[in-house]
Amino acid sequence: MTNRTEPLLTVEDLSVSIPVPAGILSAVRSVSFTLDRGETLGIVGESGCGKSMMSMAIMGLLPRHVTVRAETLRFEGMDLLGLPERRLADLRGDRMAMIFQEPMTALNPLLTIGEQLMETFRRHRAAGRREAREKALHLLDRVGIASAERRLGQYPHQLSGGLRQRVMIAMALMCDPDLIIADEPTTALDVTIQAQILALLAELQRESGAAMIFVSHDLGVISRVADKVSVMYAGSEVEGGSTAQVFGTPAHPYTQGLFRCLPNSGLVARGAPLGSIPGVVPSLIGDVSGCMFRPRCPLARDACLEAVPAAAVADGHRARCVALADAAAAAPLVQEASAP
Amino acid sequence: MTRPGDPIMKIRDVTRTYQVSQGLFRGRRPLQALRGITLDIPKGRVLGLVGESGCGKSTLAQILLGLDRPTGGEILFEDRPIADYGRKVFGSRIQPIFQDPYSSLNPRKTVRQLIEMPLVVHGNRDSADRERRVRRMLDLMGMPSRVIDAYPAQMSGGQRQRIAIARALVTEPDVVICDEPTSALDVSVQAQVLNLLMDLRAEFDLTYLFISHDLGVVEHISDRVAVMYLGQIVEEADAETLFRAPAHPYTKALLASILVPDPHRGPPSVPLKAVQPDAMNLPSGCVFHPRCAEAVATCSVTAPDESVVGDHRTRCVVGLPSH
Repeated sequence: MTNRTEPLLTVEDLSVSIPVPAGILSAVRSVSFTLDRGETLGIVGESGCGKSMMSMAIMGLLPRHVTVRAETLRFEGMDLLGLPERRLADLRGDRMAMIFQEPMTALNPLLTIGEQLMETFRRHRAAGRREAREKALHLLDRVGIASAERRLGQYPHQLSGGLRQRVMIAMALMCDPDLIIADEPTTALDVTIQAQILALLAELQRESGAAMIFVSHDLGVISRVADKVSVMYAGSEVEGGSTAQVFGTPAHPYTQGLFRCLPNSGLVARGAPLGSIPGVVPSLIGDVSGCMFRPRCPLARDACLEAVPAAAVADGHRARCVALADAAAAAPLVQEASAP
Repeated sequence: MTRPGDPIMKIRDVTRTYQVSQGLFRGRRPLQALRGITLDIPKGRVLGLVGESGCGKSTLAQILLGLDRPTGGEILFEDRPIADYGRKVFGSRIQPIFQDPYSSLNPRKTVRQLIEMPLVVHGNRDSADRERRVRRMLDLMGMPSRVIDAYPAQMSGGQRQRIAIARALVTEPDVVICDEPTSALDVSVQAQVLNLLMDLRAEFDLTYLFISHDLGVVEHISDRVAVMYLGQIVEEADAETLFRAPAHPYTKALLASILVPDPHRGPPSVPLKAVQPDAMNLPSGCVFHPRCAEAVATCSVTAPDESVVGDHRTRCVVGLPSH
């Protein structure tokens, strides 16, 4: 039984490293957060920042040669790193479920929608066909799929992208999980469908009280679904806090730079040059000490070569940047961002 | 010569119908990918083209590039049918930039070979001249000339897209068809590439047809915008008007779906019914009516004509407000 005062998920000092021919690739370094029931954590960052690796590590889905270390990785009072694979497999799909980006590759093309929906439920609940079928019909209806009876007998290729993603969501919800990890669940969809799926996810989460980790590269999406946000760069969290804090008063130069790159953030006039972050993402193989953003940072200084601890910006709002003492550095963007 | 703002390309009632196989023992059925597209591409401007996947926007791009032929209708380039131009002449004046710089560049060719290929194809036999042009392109793209002998695999996504842009511009085209040119890129890289495209447009007086599903990007970069739905243009206006006062219910739904970062609002509610459009089985009347939030009784019976006010046109019975 879960202790009432303990968060649903506690992640402390999580690191993921991958041996590659050139050395060790530090994909995720020292990430910490907690998640309560009913809460949504948005993880945002660009390709290679480690956001997907982190969710795979929590789900225990990384291959054996990848090293996952953590001070604490507790879910419902259980130490996930200490669990044998068989127990983890029992948890996956039951207490924690994942929604992937591309439903065409995540769904099995050889099984009908019905078979795939019912499989999870029957495995975890030792339930009969009829019970599983009823649950599947109920959920398909719930995620807005009309004529659910007919859909149960169809194969993934007979459905459109939006419908397949709805099926993925229904599948994730079959066992009423406590934690849903959604990795870019709307990235492959048309914008109108994306908006509908996001509204659906938010509604289902409110109903079920599940916690959600929502991984996306899209700042607009994250701002609309998350209660709190973690901005990742090159494997570590550079800034974190409530969504209002991170989007209202971004403190880290990387977060600020990302906002200036957006064509529709209100920071840049139509047709005017967008802000950009010069340079490219650094290699994560070998030496990853100090602030990894320093080669691209307008505020870089000698102190950035040392390890940079997360500093509090405000209550619950933290950022890893030595320039934070410089309150003036954050000020201009804050004023612009608060303008309508 | 076409003056800036006048149409450099005129698309006149272009249709494209594919015969789609239904399986081994069933006959073929027609799929109307384009159903009478009429559109002007104004010289020296950016025309944005938006619409959901399957609406026909990439089919139109293929036809404009001469990679596919229309079933009916006509395309004029500087007032002459494109069939009148030799393939090579036409190919050098209109060039593509595609979405995915990972699959659109041959991995076995060096940067030099990739960029000079269009010159070779178009008969430039002077290797010193080609090298000079390739180096100038790299310089324009903001890339060091030492990458000239590198392979695409050694480059990041943003660098590859710069190579793709250099390859498109090396023949000094008039029109560039940009088909989702930044969709595969990260936000910070997208900003660099968009800035580069805007600089190049101004410097060389280029005309862009900018196809994208990202309305934020289209709003930022376009002078005019056309909205496609199931093979038709349902609305077209200058960008300012279209984003401020959209007339067609589909355009309104698209605009409602734009997710501007805002921590104080949840996911938007989109005025659109969750019916899937099927290009093989078009609805009666206005093809948008099954999803339309504003549909009235006649919409399922009569396909609406185009209504035009000034240079704003739409295809909906609700029609246009007078500006």
